[in-house]
Amino acid sequence: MTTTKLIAAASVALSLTLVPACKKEKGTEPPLTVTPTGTTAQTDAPPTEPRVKETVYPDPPAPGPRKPVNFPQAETFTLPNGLAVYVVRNAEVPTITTQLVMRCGSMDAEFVAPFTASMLGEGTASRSKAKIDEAIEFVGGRIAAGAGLHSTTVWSHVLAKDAKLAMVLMADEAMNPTFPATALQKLKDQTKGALGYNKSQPDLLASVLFDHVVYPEGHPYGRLFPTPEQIDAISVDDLREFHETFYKPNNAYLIISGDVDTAKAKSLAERAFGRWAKADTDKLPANPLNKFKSYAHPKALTVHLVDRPGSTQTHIRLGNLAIARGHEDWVGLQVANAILGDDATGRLFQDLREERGLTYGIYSSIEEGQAPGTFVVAT
Amino acid sequence: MSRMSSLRRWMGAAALVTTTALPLSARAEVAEEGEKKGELMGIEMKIRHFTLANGMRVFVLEDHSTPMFSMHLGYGVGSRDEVEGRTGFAHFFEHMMYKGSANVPDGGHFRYVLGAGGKMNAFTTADRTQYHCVLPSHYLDLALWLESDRLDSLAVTEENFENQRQAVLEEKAMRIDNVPYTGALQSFFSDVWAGTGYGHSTIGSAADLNAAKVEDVKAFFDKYYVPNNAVLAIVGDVDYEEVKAKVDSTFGDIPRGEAPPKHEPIDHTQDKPLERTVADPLAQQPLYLVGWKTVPENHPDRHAVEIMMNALLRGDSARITRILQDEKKLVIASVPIGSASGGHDAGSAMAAFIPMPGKTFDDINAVINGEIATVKKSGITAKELSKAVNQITVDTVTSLGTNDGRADLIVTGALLYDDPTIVLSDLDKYRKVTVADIKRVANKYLTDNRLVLQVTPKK
Repeated sequence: MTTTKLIAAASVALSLTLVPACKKEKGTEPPLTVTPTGTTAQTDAPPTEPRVKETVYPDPPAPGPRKPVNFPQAETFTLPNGLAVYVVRNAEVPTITTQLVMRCGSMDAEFVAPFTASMLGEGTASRSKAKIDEAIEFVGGRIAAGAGLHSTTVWSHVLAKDAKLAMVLMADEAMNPTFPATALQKLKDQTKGALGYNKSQPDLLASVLFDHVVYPEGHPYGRLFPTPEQIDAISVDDLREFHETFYKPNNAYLIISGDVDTAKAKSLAERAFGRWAKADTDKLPANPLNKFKSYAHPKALTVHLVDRPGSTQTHIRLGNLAIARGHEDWVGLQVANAILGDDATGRLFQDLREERGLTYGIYSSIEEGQAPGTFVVAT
Repeated sequence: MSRMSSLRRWMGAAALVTTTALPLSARAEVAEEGEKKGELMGIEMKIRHFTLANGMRVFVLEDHSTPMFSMHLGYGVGSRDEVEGRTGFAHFFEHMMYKGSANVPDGGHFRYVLGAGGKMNAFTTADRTQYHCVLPSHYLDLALWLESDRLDSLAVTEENFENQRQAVLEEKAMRIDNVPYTGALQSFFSDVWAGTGYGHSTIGSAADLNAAKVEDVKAFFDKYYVPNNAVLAIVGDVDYEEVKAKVDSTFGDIPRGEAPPKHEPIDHTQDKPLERTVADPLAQQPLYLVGWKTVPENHPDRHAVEIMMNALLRGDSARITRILQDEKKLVIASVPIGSASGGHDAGSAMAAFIPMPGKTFDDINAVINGEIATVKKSGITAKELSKAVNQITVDTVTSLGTNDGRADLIVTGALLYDDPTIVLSDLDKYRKVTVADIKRVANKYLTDNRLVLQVTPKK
């Protein structure tokens, strides 16, 4: 079946060369491209027809004529301080969802980025955490913040009539956080507590180890769970410095969607974010992924194990480094992955689950990133 | 669904539900037809419905904003209907429904629906089993054909049966047995409702699944998978008259079955505390659960009980959560989990807590007891009441934002409450809860006869 061929393909060593590029100010331009060199794996095309059945089934009813799809148009404008704003109108129900996205994440600072984001709601120059919680929860709304690898997002969801409140609170959290030391300690204790929970999740253990062995030493995509000592070492000053460096309107964009028109969005955005001071663009640090000039596949199939006593089941991750989101083959690989294992119609599921009953579920995926992501089969 | 700006009333908006009888259709298969309208905060739900002669109820809500529709087909059967020795059957049956029927090959549902760019899935609860899909609107025929073919002629064969038995056992191993806390929680919830249909988990026991025979599966299908035990909702870019004609031609000839069995009311008496400590080898830190048996979902106190639990626990500004999390720093998480145990006719109010390392159950319990005593004595503030209502309002409005959400709510309402717009009338009931109601239900239900589970890591 296809899996065997893919393992063969994956074990052909490819050396992927990165072309470093400047990041941040490039906006949505992918700063990294990948050029495969050396032998390119040739995957034989497996038979495309569905499994042969003895019974002959009729064709399903034919679809009617296709109707046009009108995707909502995103309006865009930029505030004088450089904050780009995108407005997507969808007035189906009277709610508004807003996202403020900063171009910084755990790839810039492994622990400091997520802690900075999580601390935004712990108090600002003019509002305590209790005051923020009470204000947003009273209207039934929600505000949350978090950092991923590449970006940090502050998010809110409220009834349309409460959008002004939500946006003012979001702006206050992003612009004026105070990072109280007691709250940082609470967050550290919570994070250390959650470490135990995370380490008890078998699928997470498998995924974390997989990424760790696939990526070169020190790569932001391949980190293990943090240790309690690493968490303890984070200081308020670290958070302040990170915030001061990256949380700038010209290093961010705002997406407002829901029951809102551009005029209303403009007045909401200006009121909440208009006074946010912009950064000197040359002070924004370089993309940390630029340090990694080349990636290599292992020379042979290597098996890594996590021993988890008490397990009733095995979680398996099988795969290798693939390509960056900006690579010209990305779309093609996505289509190939859709055929192989993106969902229950994929060949992996049809064969291993439906035909042989070997597993409850088996899927494949390709992970997107500025640097090369992974191709992984998971069951 | 269309939104009428002129009717928008932000504050004090009430649900308005009206039923209008329409003339009966001339078609022989359609026994009854009508319209049910709900309106809330400018969101209008104008549901047209009909019932086939074989008893199948169908609800249609047109929304032409995108060329898609969502279809939910719910059957009034869940794990509560299973007999002793055959637990896990309702869910097992959900799997069997994808193994092919007279005209649809094994796995055809996946292939045809996903191949059309749609998505599909199914779920089983204690009370119902629901199959749903989202498709481009020019695939309406496909959706109706797939569902009617399997209701009419499911292929229950020895081979399919064995294959899916393995898949379900695998699902149980993965989702239940290998996940921290889940096994302990399920076994506790089962004991809370021991002796009722809710006294076992939906996934069932491996021994029962292994003992099952293909004849059992056939009998289950014949008893519960009948049009008079089904509710179909289609929401999106469809035309009511077209749906009616097509549902008629695809489902109309499927014979009516025996009337689905009625459920007896469930005794909620708890005359002594139920307390248990379980060591979980998979858990790395403790989890505490504190709860009470309350009322079934159709009880008039349900709304007040839910608001009370939300005011105490939902969100960082809620009474108990604020103290445990931010003031005393005793927990990592503190959340209300209303519907985790029991089901439609067996209600409980529960909360789960994950302690900070080094903090004990006694530390947390002292805070809970103190706050509950305060609520019993003084109730909650008007502001806390408004907040809880506002939270539920945003939940409701948000879930009405998609075709899929609306179709699910319509089926849930029609199957369990015989009211497809209950989501709107319910909101009206939440809005009518008073501070005095909260004090009353706190004294009535938050008794000393608590349900307490402590899951601790096994050293």
